[in-house]
Amino acid sequence: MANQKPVFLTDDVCPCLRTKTMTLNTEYRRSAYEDSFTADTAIFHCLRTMCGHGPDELDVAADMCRPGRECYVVDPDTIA
Amino acid sequence: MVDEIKIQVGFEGHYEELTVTLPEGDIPPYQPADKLTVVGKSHPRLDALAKATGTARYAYDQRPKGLLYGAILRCPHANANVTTLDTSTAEQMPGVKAVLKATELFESNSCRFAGAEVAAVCATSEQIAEEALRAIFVDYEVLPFAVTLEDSMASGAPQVGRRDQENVERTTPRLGRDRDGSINEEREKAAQDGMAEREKKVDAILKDAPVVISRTFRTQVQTHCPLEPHGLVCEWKDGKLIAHASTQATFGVQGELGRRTGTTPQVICDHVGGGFGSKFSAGREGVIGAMLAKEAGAPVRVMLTRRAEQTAVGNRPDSKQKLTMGLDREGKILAYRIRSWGTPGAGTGGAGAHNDALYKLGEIDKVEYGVRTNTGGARAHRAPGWPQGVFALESMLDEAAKAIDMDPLELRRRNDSHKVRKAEYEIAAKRTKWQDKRGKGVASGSVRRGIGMASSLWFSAGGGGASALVRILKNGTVEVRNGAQDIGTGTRTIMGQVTAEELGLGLADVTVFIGNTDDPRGPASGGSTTIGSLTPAVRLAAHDAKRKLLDAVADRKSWDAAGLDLKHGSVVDGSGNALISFRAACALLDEDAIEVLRDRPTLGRRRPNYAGFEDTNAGVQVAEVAVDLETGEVRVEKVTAVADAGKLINPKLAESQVRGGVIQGVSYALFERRTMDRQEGRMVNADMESYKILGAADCPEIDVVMLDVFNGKSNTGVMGLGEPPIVATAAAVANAVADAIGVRITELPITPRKVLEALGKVPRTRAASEKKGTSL
Repeated sequence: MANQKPVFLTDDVCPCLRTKTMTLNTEYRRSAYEDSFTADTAIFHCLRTMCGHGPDELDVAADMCRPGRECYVVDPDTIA
Repeated sequence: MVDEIKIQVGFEGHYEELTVTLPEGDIPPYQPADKLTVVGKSHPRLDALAKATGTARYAYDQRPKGLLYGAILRCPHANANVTTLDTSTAEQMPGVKAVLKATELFESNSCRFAGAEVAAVCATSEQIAEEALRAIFVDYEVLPFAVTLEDSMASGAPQVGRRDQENVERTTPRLGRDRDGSINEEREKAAQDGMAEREKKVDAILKDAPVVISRTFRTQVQTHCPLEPHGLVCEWKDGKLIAHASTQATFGVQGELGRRTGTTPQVICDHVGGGFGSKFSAGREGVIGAMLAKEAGAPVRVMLTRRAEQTAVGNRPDSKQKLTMGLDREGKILAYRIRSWGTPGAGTGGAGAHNDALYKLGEIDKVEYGVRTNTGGARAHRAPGWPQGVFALESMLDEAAKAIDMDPLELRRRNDSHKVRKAEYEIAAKRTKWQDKRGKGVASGSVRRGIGMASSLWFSAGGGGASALVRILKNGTVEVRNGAQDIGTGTRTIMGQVTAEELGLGLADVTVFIGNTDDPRGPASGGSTTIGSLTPAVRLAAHDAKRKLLDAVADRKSWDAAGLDLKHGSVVDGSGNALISFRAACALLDEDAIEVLRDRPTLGRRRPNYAGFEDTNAGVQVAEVAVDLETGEVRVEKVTAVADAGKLINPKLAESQVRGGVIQGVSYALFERRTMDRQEGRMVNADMESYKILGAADCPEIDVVMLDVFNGKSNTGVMGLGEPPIVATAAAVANAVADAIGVRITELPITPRKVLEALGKVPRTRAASEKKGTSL
């Protein structure tokens, strides 16, 4: 398995980003992000589009859904 | 207070002592000397009768009063943008109660595969809902498309994605990105420098290696095909959403629908008709169901059609894996190079293949690419990345063994240090008479027999975030509750067994409540973690409830509580003498019930479990096949599966998991394959008639040997089992076929055509078609 160290800390990942690993270990969301980031089989989706690309039509992933991206959401309740 | 204790770990004939630090408040794990009466016994699953008689109620079976029927309009084009979407006619149709535009609901007008959601309706009957879909007018900007790996990678291929997305993207090592997701040149250069360094290092080893072999392997797209399709029944009551979902993650669905609706929904899942990794998210169908129900003011059922099920909600990606291995003549692997490509749909995530695991492979140089295609996207699929990766890896090992004239079993022994797997090799070899059969190519008429092996591993001993509630009522009844789902693995039964064991009762004395988010929080059923995560919480809650009961009894009877225990339905003293029945003890309670809620003990965020016997659990499978040299048909006659899942709570259910994995693995090896029409861009076999899955007549004899491994790691010592049994199967079958016919087939599924091609009996079609692209 290809393991790579995360480039970023995970605190500011867009709260709309989702992946399977996040649902496995409910107490440790941050750890789940980090694990997902290093897995070469991780598949992400966006809560707004409910698919693998964001509202800006680009892929969603732990290293891409960051502040500065045009569809980045600070408050996840805004999608309700 | 954190306790340091000595425990016994290992398995029969291989026990050793280990000093471990228990998490605060935890109890020691089951030990080999424990005399367990319920745990470790093969009880039938608690819901067996309900499932066998059809009384088990799935999401599909929910019929609340006033139920409306949802239906989803899907894009017929492989690549298109919606330019006009007019639902006004549908909205006016009698019986139609709500209409939604997916373009608005999901903030995107792009449809990147034939089957993408465009609009949805709900109506008083399924027929009216279907008619309403036909009344929706959609205009598309239709774009060129690519639906196969070769088509997408070809020079001048149509762009699959949008904006500046390229069709092929490196996924391992990941591209060096900036904080906004754009490429950071400095980071990317560092990644490329690292790649170049590894390449150089492996080049140098391969140059001097006594034996170097290179092969290219292909695997197909395996679509998800659970008997119960994705979907749910939603209703709103007093502003609260109640969703009966077919899901592997009740709390995950609760979280997603909660974010989408601004509420805290209740998600209920009594039974699941299969998930296999595809049912973690609420999915677009889940959001559609919740919003249609809200708009209509009535309960709505949205369950996918079989076509939608096989096109829109996930698959195991295909792969093309170019491997090079260098080794010495004694069988030591020195270096290993991997270049692989996979097609996980319009994105690139999930394309990886685990082809560099299991063995000591020397210096590794691995680069992987995701290839975008206009096809339905990948989702986790029972051991994501493993069956395809291990098929290639284990085929390479057999080819390497052949190159140095060594028994493939011996080559594996020499490159494997796993204590359990080393024992499993010997069990498998003895049980299958490996030495008598391997390489013999026993013939009977046109049929040639062969035998092959492959290995597996898995990681999980579970993690935190699970809680369990145990309630002992004054009338002597016992309940255990958790809100997670039982996806068919037997979680419900296992919770009951662990509780019963701790309370000295029988399984029938415990009522298990599961699959309702109003109960304590539990994990998703993924990564083979559910039982490893849940049972330590269940056991601790039951243990603490027992102590409370015994304290109460001791208080009433003026006994010493420390010397009391619960065994065989009674309160017993230190010598094991029965003093009073469990029921009579409960009657002594002052309150109506003892209720104990406990979280799963862990050592911390990054290290939930203490050290155990091995960090991974192991498996070895041996397949025996018969190949008809005239027709090319392969029959898998027998699979011997030796498996380890840590401490076995219920051997019967564990065996059942292994059998299921083997069956799905043989199906992957011989039959399953998504076929795409390259001209129209659609899946042509999106139904259960033409998407061939192994049937009862194709099923091999399966000989399961479960090792009971006291691995420690948690108070139950359970390791994951749902996924590992599928990891090795296709590889073992492929190796057996090569043993039978003397020629390596490097592409799954192993169809009669490929066998005959390999034997030179029919012309090869693959090489020519690969140049332009072909369906996978």
